[in-house]
Amino acid sequence: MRETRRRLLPLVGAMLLLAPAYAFAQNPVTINGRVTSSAGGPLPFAEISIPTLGVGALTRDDGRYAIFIPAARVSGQSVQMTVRRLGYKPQTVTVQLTQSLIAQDFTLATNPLQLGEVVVTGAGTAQTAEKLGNVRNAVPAEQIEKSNEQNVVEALAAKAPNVQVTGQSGDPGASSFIQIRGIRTIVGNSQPLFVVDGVPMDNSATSTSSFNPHDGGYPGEGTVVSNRAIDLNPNDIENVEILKGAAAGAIYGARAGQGVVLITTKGGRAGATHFSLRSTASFDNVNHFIALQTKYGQGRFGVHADTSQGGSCDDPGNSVCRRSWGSLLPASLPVYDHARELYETGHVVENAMTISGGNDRTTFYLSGENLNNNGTFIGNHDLFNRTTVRIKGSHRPMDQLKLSANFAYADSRGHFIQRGNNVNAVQIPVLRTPPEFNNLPYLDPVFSQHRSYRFQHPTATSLSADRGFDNPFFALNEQINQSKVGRLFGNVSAEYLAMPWLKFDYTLGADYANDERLEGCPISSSDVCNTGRVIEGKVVNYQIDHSLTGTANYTVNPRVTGTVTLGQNLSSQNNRNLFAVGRGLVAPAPYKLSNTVSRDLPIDNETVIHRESYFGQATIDLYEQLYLTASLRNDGFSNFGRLSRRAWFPKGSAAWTFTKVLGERPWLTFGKLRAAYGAAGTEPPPYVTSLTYFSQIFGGIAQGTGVTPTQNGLGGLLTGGQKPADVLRPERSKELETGFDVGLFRDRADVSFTYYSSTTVDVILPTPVAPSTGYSYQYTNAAKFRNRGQEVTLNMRPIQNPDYGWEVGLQWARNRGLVVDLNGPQYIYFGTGVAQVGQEIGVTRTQGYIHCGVSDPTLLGGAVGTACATAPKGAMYIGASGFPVTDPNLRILSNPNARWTGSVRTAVRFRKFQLSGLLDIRHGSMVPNDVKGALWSYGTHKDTENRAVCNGATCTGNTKVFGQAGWFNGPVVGPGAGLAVPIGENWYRQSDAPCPFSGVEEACLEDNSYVKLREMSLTYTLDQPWVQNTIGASSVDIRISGRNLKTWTKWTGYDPETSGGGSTDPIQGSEYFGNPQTRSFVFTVIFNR
Amino acid sequence: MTRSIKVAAVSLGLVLGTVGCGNFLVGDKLSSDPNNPTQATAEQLFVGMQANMFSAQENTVAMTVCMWMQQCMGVGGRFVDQFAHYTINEFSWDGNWFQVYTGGGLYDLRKIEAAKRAAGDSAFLGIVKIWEAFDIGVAADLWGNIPYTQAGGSNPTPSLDNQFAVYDTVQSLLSQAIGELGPAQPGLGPSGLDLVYGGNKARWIATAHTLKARFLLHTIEANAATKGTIYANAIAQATAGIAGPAGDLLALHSPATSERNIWYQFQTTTFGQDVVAGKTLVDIMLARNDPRLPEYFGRNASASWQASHKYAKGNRVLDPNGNGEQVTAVAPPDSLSGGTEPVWPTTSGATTADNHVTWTNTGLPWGGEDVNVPQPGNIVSPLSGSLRMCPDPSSCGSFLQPLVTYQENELILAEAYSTAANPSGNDATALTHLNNARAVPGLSALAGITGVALLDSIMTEKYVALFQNIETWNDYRRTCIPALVPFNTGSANPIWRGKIPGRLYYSGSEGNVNKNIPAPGTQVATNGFRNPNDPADCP
Repeated sequence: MRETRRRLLPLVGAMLLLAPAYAFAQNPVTINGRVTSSAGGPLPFAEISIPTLGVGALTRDDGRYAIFIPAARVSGQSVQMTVRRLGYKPQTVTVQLTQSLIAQDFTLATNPLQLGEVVVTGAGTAQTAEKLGNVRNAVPAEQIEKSNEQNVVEALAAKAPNVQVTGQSGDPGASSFIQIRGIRTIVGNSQPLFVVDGVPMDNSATSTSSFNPHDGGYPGEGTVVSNRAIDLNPNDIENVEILKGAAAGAIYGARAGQGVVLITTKGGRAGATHFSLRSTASFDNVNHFIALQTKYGQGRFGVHADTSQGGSCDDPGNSVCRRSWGSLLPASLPVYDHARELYETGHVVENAMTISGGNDRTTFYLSGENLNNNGTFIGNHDLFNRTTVRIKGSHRPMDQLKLSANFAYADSRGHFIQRGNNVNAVQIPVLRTPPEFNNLPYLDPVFSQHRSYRFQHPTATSLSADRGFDNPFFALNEQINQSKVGRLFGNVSAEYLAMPWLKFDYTLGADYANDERLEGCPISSSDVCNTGRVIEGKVVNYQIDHSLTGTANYTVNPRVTGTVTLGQNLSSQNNRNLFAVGRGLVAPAPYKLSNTVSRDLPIDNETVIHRESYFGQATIDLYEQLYLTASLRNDGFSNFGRLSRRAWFPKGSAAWTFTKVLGERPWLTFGKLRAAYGAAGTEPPPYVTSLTYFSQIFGGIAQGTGVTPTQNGLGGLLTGGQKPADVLRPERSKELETGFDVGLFRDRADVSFTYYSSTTVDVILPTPVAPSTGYSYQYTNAAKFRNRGQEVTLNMRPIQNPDYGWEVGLQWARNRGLVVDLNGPQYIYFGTGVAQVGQEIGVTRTQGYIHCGVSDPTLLGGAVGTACATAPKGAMYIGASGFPVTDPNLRILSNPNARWTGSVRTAVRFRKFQLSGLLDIRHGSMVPNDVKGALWSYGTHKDTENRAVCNGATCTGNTKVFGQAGWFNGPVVGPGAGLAVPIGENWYRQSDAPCPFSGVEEACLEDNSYVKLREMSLTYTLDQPWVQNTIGASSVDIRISGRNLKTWTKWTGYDPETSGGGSTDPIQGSEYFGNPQTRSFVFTVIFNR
Repeated sequence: MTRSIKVAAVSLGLVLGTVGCGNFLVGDKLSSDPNNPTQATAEQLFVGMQANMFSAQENTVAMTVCMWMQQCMGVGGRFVDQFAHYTINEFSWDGNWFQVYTGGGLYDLRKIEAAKRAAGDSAFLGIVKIWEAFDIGVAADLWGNIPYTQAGGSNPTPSLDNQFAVYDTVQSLLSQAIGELGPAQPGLGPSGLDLVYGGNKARWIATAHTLKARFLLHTIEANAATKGTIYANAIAQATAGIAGPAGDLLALHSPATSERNIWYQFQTTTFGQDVVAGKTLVDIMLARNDPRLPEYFGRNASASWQASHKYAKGNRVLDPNGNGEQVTAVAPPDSLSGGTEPVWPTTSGATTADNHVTWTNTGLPWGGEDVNVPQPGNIVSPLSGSLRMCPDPSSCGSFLQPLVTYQENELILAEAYSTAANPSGNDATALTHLNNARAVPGLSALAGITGVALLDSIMTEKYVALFQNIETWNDYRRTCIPALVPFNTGSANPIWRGKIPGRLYYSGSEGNVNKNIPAPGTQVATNGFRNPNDPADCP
């Protein structure tokens, strides 16, 4: 790295010396005028520029602008003056700089197809929209802002076809997962590469629990985590371009296999200084609760548990008190609404200010944001606070050179609530509390000790007694779960126009985040936290990214033009984690390692990855209608195998504007065919090529029990389970994408269609090896995946008037993944799913009941085959007892991947009112609802309110016949078919039905498709003269909006858009006692000046 | 054209100006893992291997066996309870399979053996071979035919060796070890690195003999014709086996977080509390007032009586005689006890009145859960509160789990001498050995028992003595003693034919890659889900 910079500096220095002398002096020139839309209204924020002089201005709210050109740069020459505004067709006029005052007005036609707009295509390259050989998916600032999301990733939900975004839960600061065109890899977290202003940005998400292996330590427990893109202030975003597939992202080589999200931040522009102040207040509440029964009390087999002082419910080990299978509660006895008792209305208050402006040489942009989010749990325990500042400036010391710097600092502080598979969390205890137990007060009124439904009467001596489950209010009020992030990211860059046809860009980017974690659970918590526990640690991520590109324009003749870009990129990515777990608090507070009796072996991890890449891209524009692009990248990464250190990633694309040949018709204003092919990759995890020895905990039963190889003070090691990889190449996705974009009916509508087919070869897998060989897995380039799909976008603008208008946008997409080959194993578990040859990627492989045509007919000594002989495929086999029978062979039971996804966006404008709405649709996905299964077993789920009464051996009442009357409807066979059986504790608790405890998931499968009213907003703009006169603002926008207002779904859990693993699980939708989702009502006032 | 040349020249300059960082991609922390050791000595592997062997004998398989043998039982409806009801699949004991073969298992055992063979340390080699025999012998007990000769080598899909071939290998490894541990053999041995015997050769030789005897018994059921010879051989081995409790092979533990007994660690989790006392074992022990009751199980009534305290029906206290006293009736107006402690009845079933409360003596304060008939929760003993979990409050988790013991050795001899098992045996000698075993916990000597009754006493004693030891399952599968009633309620899975499962499912991870592993359904359909050494079902 250092060596490279030494080589570069002289090069940059030489460029500076090449700057030509200024031309001779004349009088200064001022150009002014007004920009209006073809509908007649003024257009604010239109950008007027004279590229050859590097000067420009921005129109104000009345559409007026003024550009001043200093005398030194005026020589009576002709210059081209261009006006651009998002959504309008750009216009270029030639102006002769002969007078000192020139008037130039513009009237812009709307540009629904964004023709002529410059699109950032990555790694320093850009293209105008019509020349793109790939489908374009852009998300402008306005859509980010209207989403009211704090997390830029969540703001992308339903904004582009086949870009699926899933929020982990409604906790403030929770992570969001983004998946583009289906699951394509199973290493890492399968998130796209995030690039902000040309520099890759860390978007990792790390759970504190991962650093506590002794207590189980996996992301499905603990708290939610933030994905680090949350450190970006959404108000700073000008535009997001999503490079979906390998064909679009090939210029990013081995890091673009899951797509690339290119974020451009706002910058200052020449012209009057612009101020904007945005204040937002949001009211959030839980959007859906889990239904619980309120009729039966604590106990087992119809007998109420002994809840008296010293009784069995003061003994958390006693299984009698754990569940609500007791007697029918007297109607007079008060019951409590455990589903809702933990929540209140949450709030978000956000204030953001931006100041931007500049002159012909220098621009600046300053922004600040302060966000305070107090979530929906009672009290001030679930918080996410963010303060960001950004400073961005550019200066042209000479016409040919522009120097820029762009830095942001973010202070992100989260305080989270324990959730998931975790007895020190809130969801497991609250949803399992018997209806008649009052969780309040959570401290015993006499002894001030933690009381829970499994330990109802603590006394003065109960401090060290286990509580079974924490009282949810105790967990809520007494724990600490913090993440405090300080992050600095940004870049310095230079843009040098060496010759009119040759430009160099240099960018040096840096990204540093220090995330300090602290988790503390108090003395008298349940289980592993009983004596108190402190987890303290740091996650430090930093990277430096350097890139240099040179772009040359060439013109062979007016009909044959193009560009050549060559570039180099070097990056160094470092991660460091240092964590320690302290056990046994000495004093009840503080939560500090130094206040604990003993410490576990600390976790001390680091990874370093270096990358060195070269790339080139050439474009040829033929006859102003055929646009060809070819690029090639060569990546060398330190985490590739020793024998395969470098890899090539090619790309080629073509776009043909066929309307240039056909001519524009009233019904067809624009038409383009496009095709692209490219390869992109996924890098292997670091250090999988070496043999290592293992020193951590192993060999326990469930949730982190176990021993270390070191015993009795003697250092011990075990051979690690990872067989060293021999050769490891980056994974390679090859994608062909074709489609068309057409503008119809005088641009009243446009349609875009894309078909893609991608094959991922050399898929990196922790390939299972037979344990009997001595190893558990080996990273190999073993598998082959395929993803195919279609994407359609239809935008209609049926009504367009200066005073009113109506727009509708529809998006539809489908993706079908397929595991073509795994090269050995039958299946590989990853995340919550599996890759199995011939199946879609990520399906659920688990246990189900015996079904005809699905299960092995020789089961039960051939009885299955006999019974199924004349039965339809899928018929359920019912054993002699009248209940289904569990199939000992595991199989593919369900598919969490949607059959299709879509969205409907509409906007209505009437005078100064704007009304818009966004529906997000996911159709045809299915996952097991394990929360339901667990609550069945605990007898608290609403489904168990109708129950047979069981006295141990026998049950009576609530009889059902499998296959009939809404009870597992469908054909049934077998000796017990048609038998009416009682359904109570025998089924919900004791049989194979309680899915998470039995591993038999069939009874819990649920369709988690949804239609969500994601956004709805009504804006009124005040820009009357009195606004300026009285409050000094040029305009004020007042907006009332809603987020996640309504969800239509068959899912009975909290929300179909939930994911236990958050952005660390490549398969979304499955969760276990996660926190609920929220909906928000948001009030926003924006002052502009 | 000129411009094209310029473009080319600039491009070339750009490339040349930036290449040459050949060492940017390699170096410290780039080429090798900075987080984990890349070297390990045979001594370090030896320590880690022992930790692996200890935990493998105490974790999921041990919990399963304890519940299937009804020494323990599962409650609570969660996975532990499901295991007790035979709701299991190919991943239920996946971890145990890894422990047999991967790091700390066969793979490391062979590495250590190779190193010690090369170093000429015969004593060390012998001890490692005993561990290998123990490792694969137990694996053969659990899964029957298992990979062995092709395991841990270059074959990616090792074939299965017949269970009896593995048992033969076990015998031969143990014989070799006994030879290598001989006094004339060279080598210092592991001394302090040996967490069991501190390198004591004589102790290891005795244990090797006991193990030989143990694994010989596992071949009896399938070799009825030659069982006399096998019993004679077992007698010969056990006679040279562990000679007293001091020679027991105990897993080392301490109260340190990562060195605690796994039984205890599991008890500290909420899932672990789902494992409680099993009724069959508790009833046997109650019937003879077995002194090991407080060692094995917590009392189900531990509160003491309180004056003028409110008691609800069903509440239990422990009286000073060590018996449980339960409130069986309360008289209006309330359930207050008296001001002074009543005189507690000493006979089971007797009652006493205490102000408004009537107490019934329920005998010793221990009880177990029945897999088929749920017991009232307050009479079921937990494992927590037992001396095995916390020998004393400051050393919870430090119980040294017995894996191979003098008692087992004596009871092997007793079985092998008992005429009901071995027609050429001698009941008097068998009874002597049974009484030797009974003497360890302080049980009185039995007299005058012979034949089938004697064998029943021997196997019952072994069932009690080997609580929490996987070996109990082998004894049951061979002798069907004690009589157990399998889980069999109405909704029970007919896959199990109303029998206690006779083996474990092979590891799903192994079956995923190794085509030699039959599908779970096929495993169920083969030999009634029993291993080759177990031709007959228990009733």
